[in-house]
Formats: sequence, C-alpha cells, structure tokens
Amino acid sequence: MKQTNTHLLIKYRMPALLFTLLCVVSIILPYASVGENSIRIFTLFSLNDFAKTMAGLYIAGVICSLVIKVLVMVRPIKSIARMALVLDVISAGSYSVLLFGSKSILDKAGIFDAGFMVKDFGIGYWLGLVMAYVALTFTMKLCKISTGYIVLTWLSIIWLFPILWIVLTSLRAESGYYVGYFIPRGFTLDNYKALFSKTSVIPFGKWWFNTFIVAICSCIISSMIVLMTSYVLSRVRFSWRGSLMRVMLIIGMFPGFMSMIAVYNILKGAGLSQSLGALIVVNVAGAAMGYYICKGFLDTIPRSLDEAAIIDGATRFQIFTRVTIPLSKPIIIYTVLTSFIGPWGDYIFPSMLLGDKQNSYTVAIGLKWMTDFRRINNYYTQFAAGAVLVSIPIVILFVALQRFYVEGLSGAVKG
Amino acid sequence: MKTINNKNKNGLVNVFKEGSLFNRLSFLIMGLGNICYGQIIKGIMFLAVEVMYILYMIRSGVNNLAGLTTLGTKQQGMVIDETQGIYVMEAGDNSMLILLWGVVTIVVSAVFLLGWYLSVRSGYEAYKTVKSGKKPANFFAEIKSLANQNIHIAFLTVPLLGILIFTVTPLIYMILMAFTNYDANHQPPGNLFDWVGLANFKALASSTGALAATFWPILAWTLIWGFVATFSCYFLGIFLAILINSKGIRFKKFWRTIFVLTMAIPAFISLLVIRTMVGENGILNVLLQQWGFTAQPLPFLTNGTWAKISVIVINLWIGIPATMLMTTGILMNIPAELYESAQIDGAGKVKTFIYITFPYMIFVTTPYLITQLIANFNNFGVIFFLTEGAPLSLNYYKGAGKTDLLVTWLYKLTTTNKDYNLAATIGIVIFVISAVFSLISYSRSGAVKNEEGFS
Amino acid sequence: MKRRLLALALSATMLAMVGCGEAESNGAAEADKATEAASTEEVETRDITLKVWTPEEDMGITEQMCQAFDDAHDEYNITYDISVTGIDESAEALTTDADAAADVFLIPSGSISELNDAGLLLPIAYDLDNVKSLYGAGAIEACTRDDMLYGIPSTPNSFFMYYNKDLYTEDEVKSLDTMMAKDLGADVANFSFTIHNSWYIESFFYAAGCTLFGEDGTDATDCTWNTENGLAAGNYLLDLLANPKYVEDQDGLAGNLMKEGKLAALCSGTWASPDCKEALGDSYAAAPLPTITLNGKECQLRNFADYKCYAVKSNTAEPLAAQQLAEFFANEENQILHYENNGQTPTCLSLQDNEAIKSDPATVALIQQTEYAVPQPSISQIANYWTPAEALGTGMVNGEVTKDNLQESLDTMVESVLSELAAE
Repeated sequence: MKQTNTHLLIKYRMPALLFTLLCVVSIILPYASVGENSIRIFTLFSLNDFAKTMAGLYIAGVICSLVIKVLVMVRPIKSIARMALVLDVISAGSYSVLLFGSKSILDKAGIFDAGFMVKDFGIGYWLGLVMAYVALTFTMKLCKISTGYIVLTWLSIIWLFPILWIVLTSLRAESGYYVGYFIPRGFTLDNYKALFSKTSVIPFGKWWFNTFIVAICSCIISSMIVLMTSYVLSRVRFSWRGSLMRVMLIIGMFPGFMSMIAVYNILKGAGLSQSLGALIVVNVAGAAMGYYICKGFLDTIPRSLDEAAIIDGATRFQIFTRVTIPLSKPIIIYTVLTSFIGPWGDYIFPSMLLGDKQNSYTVAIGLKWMTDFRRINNYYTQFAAGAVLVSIPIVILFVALQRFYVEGLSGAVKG
Repeated sequence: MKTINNKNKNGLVNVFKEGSLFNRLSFLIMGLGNICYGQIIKGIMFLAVEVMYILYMIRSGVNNLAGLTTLGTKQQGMVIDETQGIYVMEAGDNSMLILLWGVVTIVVSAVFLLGWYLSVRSGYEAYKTVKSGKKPANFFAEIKSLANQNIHIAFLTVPLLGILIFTVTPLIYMILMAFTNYDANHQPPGNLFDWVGLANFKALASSTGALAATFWPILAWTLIWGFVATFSCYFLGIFLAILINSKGIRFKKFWRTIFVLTMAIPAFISLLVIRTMVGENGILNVLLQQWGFTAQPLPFLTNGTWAKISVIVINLWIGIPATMLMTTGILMNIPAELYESAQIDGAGKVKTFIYITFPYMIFVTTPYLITQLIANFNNFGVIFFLTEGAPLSLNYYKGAGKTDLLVTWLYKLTTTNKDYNLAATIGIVIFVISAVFSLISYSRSGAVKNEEGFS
Repeated sequence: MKRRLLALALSATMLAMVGCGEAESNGAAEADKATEAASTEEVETRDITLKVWTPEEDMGITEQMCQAFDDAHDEYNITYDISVTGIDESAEALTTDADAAADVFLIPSGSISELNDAGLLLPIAYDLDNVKSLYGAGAIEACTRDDMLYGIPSTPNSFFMYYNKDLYTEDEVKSLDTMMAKDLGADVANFSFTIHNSWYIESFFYAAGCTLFGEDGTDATDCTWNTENGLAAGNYLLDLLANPKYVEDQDGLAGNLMKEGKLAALCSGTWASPDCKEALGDSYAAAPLPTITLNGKECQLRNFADYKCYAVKSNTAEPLAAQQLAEFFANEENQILHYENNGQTPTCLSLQDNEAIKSDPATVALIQQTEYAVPQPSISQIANYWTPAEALGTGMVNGEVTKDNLQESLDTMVESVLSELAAE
C-alpha cells in the first residue's frame, strides 16, 4: 500500500515484467511436436495468412510489451502502462485463438502426417499461453483494473455460445441437424418465413398467439391471487394462518403431473377440457402456493404504515390497495414476470390437456414436436427460428425489468 | 391483532349445552339459529347450502361413495348387434372415474361439514348477541366486514378453492391410487382395478427384484443430484454475483444482462438446444474434434457417468444466473460498515468472504436454499428435456435410465408402462422425503422465526 | 340432393377452421348408388358425425377419401371432424380420453394388444369375410387378437435397405459382409443401421435363429437371445460397431450423410423413400435387408412384421359407419391414392400386380422383406421387450456392453423381458 502513485500499483510492475519475459523465452521453445517431428512457432509464418497474423501478433505483442514494461520500471506513467496492457490482451488473445485454430492450420498445411491434436502442443505453447495470462493479470493489477474482466469475458463466451448457436442456426440456409461447422455457409430468413407460411405444417403464428393469450391471462390472474394471498398471510393474524401456511408448503411438494389425469377429468367434468381456458384455469389454480417469495417481501414493508392508515380510518382493503400495492412494485413485477414466462415453457401439461386440438396448441408443444427424432433433421433450423421468436418477448421484458426483479427477489429473501 | 373468535367457548359440545333450542335444531337444519335471531339472509344462505348438498348426495354423491368400496363391478363387454351384424360395446364401470368421483364427493362433503360447523357456530354467536341485548350484525354489515377484519376470508376464498379443486382433490386421488392394482394389466375402461392394500409398498420395499434394484439407485442419484445441483449453482452463483459487484468492474448492468439472457429463454428451449449441441454428432463434439481436443466424439449424454456429470454441468448454465440475480440484491444489502471495519483490520478478499459475506448470505438465504433443494429433487424439466433418463440400464426395471430422478421415473411409469399404482407409491415416497426436509428446515429457518419481528 | 356441413377442423396446413362449406352432389353420387348394396332402395338419410385422426402427411388425401365415402353412402349425412394426430400419438391420446378421441384412426398393429387390453378397440365385423380376403394372411394375422380383427391393414410398417447403386451392385447388397468388405474410399461409410432401437436390433437375433416368445410369438416364458446363437449375433453387432465404416443412425444422421454422398447404404422404411430418392438421384436403389455370416452360415436379417392399420374406438357412437369408413380408407382404390401420395406400399392382394407399384424399388424391396419378416409378437408381454432391448442396443453403442460382459448382459436382458409384471 505504500508504493502507490495515483494511477498505478507499482509493486506489480516487477512480476508483470518477469512473466512477459517468460513469454518471450517461450517463443524459442518447441511449439508443437508429434513423435519425432517438432516445430517452433516461427513455422506458422510459412503457412497461411491467419496463422501468420496470429503468431505475429503474439510475438510482436510479448516483445513490445517487454520493452514497454522495462520502460515502466524506469518511469511509471499511466499511459505507458496502459499500452503494455493492450499488448498483453493482444498476446493472450492471439494465443487463445491458436489453441482452437492450430489443428486446422497445421493439418491443412500437412505439417504432421498423423494429424495434430491439442495434446501435441509443446512446452513452448503451454508456457507461453499460461504466462501470457499471468502477465496480463499483473499488468491489470498494475493499472488498477480488476482482473475479474478476464473471468467475466470467458464466462460470457461460454454463456453466449448456445445462444449464438441457436440464433445462427435460425438464420442458416442449409437445413439439417448435423452440420460440421459453426458459422452457416448461407444466411436466410426463410426459416422464419416458413413458420408463418400458409403451407407450413405448424401454424406457428396461431400457436404463438395462443401462448401469448394464456400467458397474459395467467399472469394477471395469478399475480392477483399471489398478492392477495401474501397480503393476508403477511398482515392478517387469524387462527388458522399458521397451519394454512404449512399445509400449502407441503401440498406444493407433490409431483404435480402424477395427478394430471385427475385434473384432466375434473376439467372435463366442468366442460373445460381441450381449451385454452382450461390451461389458464390450471395455471392459476395453484398460484396461491407460490406465496412464499411475495409474502417475504411484504413482511419487509413496515407495519407502522398500516397502523397509521388504520388510525386514519382506512379499511384493510383500502390499506391493501393504497398502501401495500404502491409499495410493492418490485415484487409485483417479479410475480408478473415469472407467471408470464411459465406458459411459454410449459410442455407436459398442455400437451396432454389439449389432445388433438391443434389450433389451441401452445408454442412449447410445437417446438417439442419439431425436435422429435424423426423430424429434427428437417425442422432443426425452423425449430431454432421458433425458439428465437419465443425468446424475444421474454428477453425484452426481462432485460427491461431486471432491476425490479432483483429488488423484488432480494427484498423477499431477506425476509 | 386479537383473534376474532375465542375457540374454547365455541366448541360444538358447548354450543349444544349452552345454546338455545334453535341452536340445537340448527345442528340438523342449517341456518335456523341465524334466521331466528335476525340474520335472515345469512340463515337462508346456510339453508340453501344444505339443500344443495342433500340434492347432490341424492343425485350422485351417495352412489359415488358407494362406488369407492368396490371400484366398479361390471366389466365392459362386447355384444353382437343382430340387426347390423356388428359388435357394439356394452359400457362397464370405469374404476378410474369411480375413484375420482368418489374422491370429489369426499372433498365436497368435507367442505360441507366445514360450512355446517360454521353455521352452527354462527347461529350460536347470533344467539349470544341477542341474549346480551344487542342486535346481531345485519347481512350488509357482514359483507362490509369482508373488506376489513374479515379480509382474509374475502381474499383467500378463491385461491383456496383453486387449490382444493385442482391440487388437493387430485392429490387424494393419487394417494388412494397407491393402494390399488391400477397397472398395465388393469387398464380402464376395459378392465376394472381394485384395492390391494399395501402390496405396492411391499413390492417397492422388498430388497429383491428388479423394482428394488431400480428404486434404490435412483433414489441415491436423486439425492446426489439434488445436493450437488443446488450447492454448485448456489456457490458459483454467489461467486459470479460478487465478481460482477466488485468495485473494479464497470458496466455492471451489461455483464448482468449477458447472464440474464439465459434465464429469459424458456428453460425447455435452452435444454433442447443444448441437448442437440452435445449429442454424438452435435456441434460441440464437431468443434472439439475440429479443434483437436479429442479424436472421438465424447459421450456427453450417452455414457452413464458422463451423462450424470453433463446434466449437472448443464444445469449450472441455467442455475448460476438465477442465483447470481438473487444474491446481487442481497450483496447490496450487506451493511457497508462491516466491510469497512474488515478492511481496517487488514482482512483480505478471501477472509472478508469467509467471515462476512458468506455467513450473512447463508443466514439470509437458507429458506431459498431449501426450496431449491426440494425443487431439484423434483427437477423434472432438466432431466426430461436433456436425457429423458437415458442412457437406459439393463439392470433397471423396464424403462428407467441412469440419469432418471424419482420424478422422471414416475412419469415414465405412468406414460410408457401405465403402472399408475407404482407411480403413485413412488410419488408418496418423494413427498415424504420433501416434506421431511422442508418441515425441519421451515421450522428452524431464521426467516420464519423472525417473521414476527416486523409485526 | 344432399346438404352437408363439412367441418374440416384442420387442413393440411392446419391453420384453422377451413370453413363451413356447402357441397352439393347429385349426379355422380346418384350413379354410384347402384353399386352400393345397401342403397339400392330408397334409404333414410341419417345425420352423423365422425371424427378422424390422420398423420400430417395424409391430411390432404384423408379429406379427399372422406368426401368420397360420404358420396358413396347415401344413408349417412356425415359431418367430419378431421384432425392431425400422428400414428404414434393416437394410442396415447386414445388412452387419455376415449370420449374425445377419433372414431377412426391409424395405429401400428403392434399397439393393438395394449389398446385392446384396455378395452379401447372395437372388433371389426362388418363385411368381415370379404375384408379378410382382400389382404394377405400375414397382414390380417398382425391385426387379429383372439380371432377378432381389430384393424384394417393399410401398409406394411417395416424397414428394408436403401443403397447407392453406383457403389454396390445388386449382388453385393445380398450380403452385409460383402458390403462391409468393399473399399468405397476414405470418406464414404459402407452401411448404417439403428442398433440402439429395439424395433431394429431384433433382426440380427432373429437372423441367428433366436426366438422371442416362442416360435409363434405367444409363449410369454420364452426368449432365447442369451443362447449361443444370441451370443454370436451380439458379437457380430459389436464387431459391426467397431468397424469404422459402420455408422450408427441417430436423429437423421444417416440420411444426411447419404445426401452428402458419404454413405452407401442405410436401413429405413418407405417413409424415407422421398428423402433417399432425392439424396441418391439416379443411383437410388432399394433391397431387402442383407444376410450376415454367423458361424460360417449365411443368415438372412429378419425384422418384425408390423402394419399400419385403421382401427375404430370401442365407444364410438356410430359403430357401423366407423367400421365402414375404416374399411373404406384401406380399400384398393384408396391404397392406390396413398401410394400416389407418398409412395406407401399397399397391402391389397389385388394390387401386387399393379405395374406402377411393381416397378417401384422401395415397394418391391419392402414386399420382399415382408416375406422374411417375423410377425411381431402380439402377447402383452411384448411390452416388456422394448426397453430392455433398447438398453442392450444402447449399451453396445456406447461401449458399456463389450465382448467380455456380453453373455451377462444378454442374460440380464432376457431376464427382464421375461420378468413377471410387478405387484400382481
């Protein structure tokens, strides 16, 4: 803590320099070897442009970085250190790319007869890769930049990978489930058009709309139910309150689809089977059992507010509408959001409840239908397009309302 | 809040002893007490309920209850229609529907009994009020009270009816099914099934046979999965939240949004997509081979051990963002003074986490952890959409696979094997496990104890 | 003149109610009348409703056939309710709610046992002798339980082999060993099969002479897959899987490879014929399954004989009309329609000499394969076969079943197949 100037943590300049030095040393060590045959990184220069660029970026990166870090030893200035940082990012990045790209580069050039595998990388590569990251870490510390960025970047790539894949697939011109490449050879919007075309087997537009209706109705009604239940459980003390809460907790634990056939017959007895109405009724009926989070949130609203309102002569109903609800925006949004999302992903029950009534199907049934093993090869790209279309409204809602979601949830759990 | 009713003084025996003649008669004729003491509309409503119930019982209720004892006696048959020269079906009893409607009648009767109890008591209250020289509350006053001191009745009636009809009734139906022989050989409407007592439980518990050889390993895997899935998502989620919230990181909302994307996509879609990605010829295997990480495709979901690890790892992809989002809010709530004093004491990041962040987190999120644990024991979605329980095992009872949880096995038993009785039995076992876990933790968790703190 | 309300719930595009149209017909229907035995005299016209389930690919012709049925039967004034339910989904949907189920629907003959045990199917009795004489004995056999006919066979539901005739000659595809031995180049796989599917794997065990539920498929205590013959078949499968020129088909992988020219032969049913035709173009050819060499003997691969058949639900309100419609769907004329629509092989004996059908490679191969096929066992114990066999196949594919534990695995498999149902 003593060695600080305003912009740099200069105690880290020494390790940053040392590890970059190790990177430079690693350049002359063997890059890869299969059996007797071994190459240095310089061999990459004689292959293709991509290899040349990546190898060049790495070598230039580490050497320049070394020079600059020596400079930093002499004159610790922020802008110079930042330059080293950029160079370290470049060298770590280019070596990471080579981790994935080396096989195709080396195999295409026919360097190794037996073909190259990742395990064939030599000490030079591994040392270089690890040291590049270690050096980067220290340079970041030197510049007072959180090293968390490295982890976050990698995690983001992992998290976005499937999403990117599905979006790319939905735009892919070549149909088929198995393709041996990540980026489509041709881009098209036909998969989206096919979902809505008149000749399509799947009336996707209709199903999307059905789901939307069910989602809207269920989320309005079940939010009301959850809110009312939670309010009562949080604010009103009546004799059977404790047992009610415990009983609801317990019966919520029975695996629901066990009794699906019973629910189906009850709905049939009520003349509701095979309709969207039935779906809404079922989604809503059990809503009260999800009171837990919402009640937790309401518990955090000070009771003194209620008491003040009672003194002013307000009824409990008025307190609920004028005091509690305005203060519960985050948890209301949380509840609405979760109950809105439910129907989009609900598959088991709708598929049983709706039977052969295709024009009341929801998107989940349609998408599952497309991934059946006999159809997946023909419909995979359309499935991807459908998946994107289903996700879009929810993603928008989620991203827009994220703040409330966090507040509602954390407020509630804090209970 | 004072409790509105004083229990002991209103017991039925007491009503009978202390009440007037009309109160006693109201044991038979509902609402009589209310009518005689001025609450005419309320009394008539009680009476109407009684009349409706009696009509229901005469029309179908009694039959339904009687059906429960035998579960049907007449088997469906085919008879030749001479005039047309074809077979026509002669409908028989449908054991499944008999069981269901019997249960419905029981539930209706239970609700009626509650109404009966309330009516008797309400008549007694009216009597007491009149005796003490006051006028009993009129109907409109009682309606008004629903918006105030009786708001719990107004607010809870609809939700509870929903639960009663669509959760409790099916639940009783399912529990009863465990005591029948409703299996593949006794499928209605063609066949009748009957009560068999505890035979299903015995079959499950006996230590021999394919059934037991399936049940115990699946139970073990369910428990392992439940704990590993819950805690891995929990700790890594906290780690991610701390990372994003740490001081040096800018564009917090941007980073958070990246991870939230995965939450916003309906789980079954991401699971189906990932399933296709990690298949033998899926893109992940293709890329791993192209990159030279492996020469052969990896059996992510086809080899038993691999599949178990894969589902846990894939579950992280879905579960971490959820925990991250939840803990984000909590982290902000940790009093800043705690951290400041820790910094003054020279505690490092790790120490701060171990001594401040983590205990606080655990304290606050225990109820969440328990709900998560239960939810993971019953995590139907992840397993069903990723593996459908596969890979199958030769040693398991037909259809069960190595990644099957008790719930997914139970689902298979009903859909492919049609062994509803076994499924119901297993359902009860799952329930007992979950109930024990949650009741223990529920009564111990700080959040529940502290609830009154805000009162 | 008849007045009709056609409620077509879903067209092939399934978009919505196509509409309520008034269709009129007099002349043509009047002329047809004479041929209908029942309607020679003035008959009373009855208003009835029939619900029909059809797979999506048959939607168009189902409407057409329903219309024709109505035209031919003056005694009915039929309101149809046609909806899409796949052949593999009907059984499930019928079990869930028989009241809401279709009157007439298509099922695999293999599921008749299960549905009949639950009392959900109506035995066919109308014009029975005539119906039985229309189709081959094997087909009728497959739809019969306890001497009652429960379905009208529409097409063999079985698989055979498609191959690239530029890569294999007609002689070579007779033996799998010859096929696998041929060098087709580095990138091209020789053969693909679906070992992990219990509907396919049996062909190797039947080839080896093993039995499943006795010779005639009715002995619930017999399964000889764990004998020496079964071991030979199992070893053959393991060798096949170990061969880099073999491809285990999964999620349409084989079809894709064939399209890219990287596969020379695959095994599938007529449903794959449009795709294979497109993939192979001029080199498209089909043949029955090949033979394999076990213990020095040439053994023909023999699979289950199963048929897609039209069935009637037991609680239909119109048992007579529903049976007539089911029979109508599978009559000679409509089998030609089916054939023209999607190349579905007919089961009518009278169509075996039809020129167009005789020249279709897939149909010829399927008919030849049907001769080698073994009737799929119809006893309810068959329900115990599917998953253990699948588990065996899966185990072989992902390397858990090896030559070392093959005998043990086969023993376990046989044990589960023969196990008594639990909790009797």
